[in-house]
Amino acid sequence: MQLSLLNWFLALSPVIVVLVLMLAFRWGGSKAGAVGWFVAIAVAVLRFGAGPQLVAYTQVKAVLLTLDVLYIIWTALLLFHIADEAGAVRIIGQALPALTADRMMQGLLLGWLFASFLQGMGGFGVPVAVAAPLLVGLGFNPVQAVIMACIGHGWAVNFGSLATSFQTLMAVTNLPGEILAPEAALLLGISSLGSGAIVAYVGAGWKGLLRSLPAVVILSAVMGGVQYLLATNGLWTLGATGGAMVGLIVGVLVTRLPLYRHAHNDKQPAGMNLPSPAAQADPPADDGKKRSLLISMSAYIVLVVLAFAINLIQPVNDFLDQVRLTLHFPELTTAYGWTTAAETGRRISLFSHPGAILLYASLIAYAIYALAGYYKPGAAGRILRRVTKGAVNSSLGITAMVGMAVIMSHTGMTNILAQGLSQSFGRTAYPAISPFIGALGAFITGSNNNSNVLFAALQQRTAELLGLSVTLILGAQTAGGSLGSVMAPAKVIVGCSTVGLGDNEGVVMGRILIYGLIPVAVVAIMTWILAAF
Amino acid sequence: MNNQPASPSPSAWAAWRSRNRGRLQAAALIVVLGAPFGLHWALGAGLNGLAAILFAAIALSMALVIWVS
Repeated sequence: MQLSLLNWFLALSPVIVVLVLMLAFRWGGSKAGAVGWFVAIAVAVLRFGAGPQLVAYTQVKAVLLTLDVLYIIWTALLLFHIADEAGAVRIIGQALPALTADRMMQGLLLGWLFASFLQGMGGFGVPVAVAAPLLVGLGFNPVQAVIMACIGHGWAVNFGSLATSFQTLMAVTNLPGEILAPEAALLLGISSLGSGAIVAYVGAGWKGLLRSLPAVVILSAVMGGVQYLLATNGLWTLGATGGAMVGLIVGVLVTRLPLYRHAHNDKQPAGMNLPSPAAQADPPADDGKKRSLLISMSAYIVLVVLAFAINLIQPVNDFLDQVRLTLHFPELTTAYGWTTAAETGRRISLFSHPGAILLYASLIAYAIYALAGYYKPGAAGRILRRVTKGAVNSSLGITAMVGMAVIMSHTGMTNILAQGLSQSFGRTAYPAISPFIGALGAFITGSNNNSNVLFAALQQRTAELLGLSVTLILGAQTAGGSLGSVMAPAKVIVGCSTVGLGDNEGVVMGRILIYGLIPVAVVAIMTWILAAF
Repeated sequence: MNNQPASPSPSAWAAWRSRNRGRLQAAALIVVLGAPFGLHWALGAGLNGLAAILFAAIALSMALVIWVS
């Protein structure tokens, strides 16, 4: 299939349809993804020569990729709701601000470190939903609270949620994590500096930002460094979790510095007040029962111990890795000769998969909280209902969009798109563009994961055509997606709804876009520099 | 005398759809995740008719997602 303007636009049409439906018509990911799936199949059959067998096999390949991701999403949500139902998340969130009288530091602890930690463990809007009301409870303006909670965890999305997005990057590009991790971790580590600085500025203005610099530099170096070490040593599933956990511990020590012990008279930056006064949300409900911080944190401690044990102790890993789900696929060719070689599909190790580790941690955590008497009657039912409610819709969206992306790559549509991009931008400019493509995908689809599904293969092929480092461009894609996902309307709406800003999402959205593009620009500059030298 | 039941009005359909949104989405998810395994087996066994039915089930589930979401 030759590159022409018509073919390029037709190849882009499924993506355009998804973007327009989500952005202009405010459709959800599942509905827009399903329409995109139909469009992709229609274009693949009518223009790119896909036969019925090719279309059918791509759906089977897509479902293996989807299950690899959904296994983590469902169990990550399960672990979070097990802890949340026990009141553990509230206890951890309340313990942090009591450490310092400096509001800027309180903002950093909750809006940056704690939100990033929550992203590591749960994700899917949880950091904003939990951290924003806690910030409001501390006296931050609701607009400030949502912006701080959104921007603060942007650096942690890619390796957060047990590295769901990174796992998708590996699946879609067919490249091992060991090769992809260094550049992605480096770019995201650098961006954590920007995330922390923006949280400090939004919470306490220029004076607060200046005072925050030693803390932000130390903590971003610690979090970015730990994430880099974990990700490049095969423990990418714990990258953001480990980074944020160590960051929280070091953050507690940093609050002991004389600079951060006392209250200061900071001023909030301009533009944080709303045109109409908003109702302030109440802080999360407290049932008055005493809970231990250590027991509250046990779910996450168990997870970290299990993840390290299963990944690092080889006999344990070998024992659990014995049952794998996979399928074999024949060579697939379109009527125009675009061929995908015969291959084994994605291998899912049922008992050593990150999703399995989350499941073990969930069961142990539930037992600990139940024995400690942290649950009210009917807790198990409520937990399962919340998990189902939270996961079904996003699972449908991911299934449809992965199906769409696999059809596009197996019919040469992705290749046509990549050829067009490489000829339009050229080798010099493309590295600076690639993080913005990732960010755009995440902004529109609401997730780093979906952005990688939509654009990773395209970015990979473009990098190959331009002779650029594929791992650098893919690192920029997923870093852009990570930072762009926190600006997504879906997340902002979640944040606004938890702090009583239901009618002011547009105002908050505008502010978040301004602040959120700064870390993406930092990543773009870094990618451009790394590509040039 | 007309014993034929009246067909549901559009607003009754919308209310029913809204009430059962979660169940319908869950059913669609089960089909789109489960049917491809049958599809793989049917294609491998040369059962093209069964493969067509299973693919149609996936497509119908996607259409159901659009309708209920």
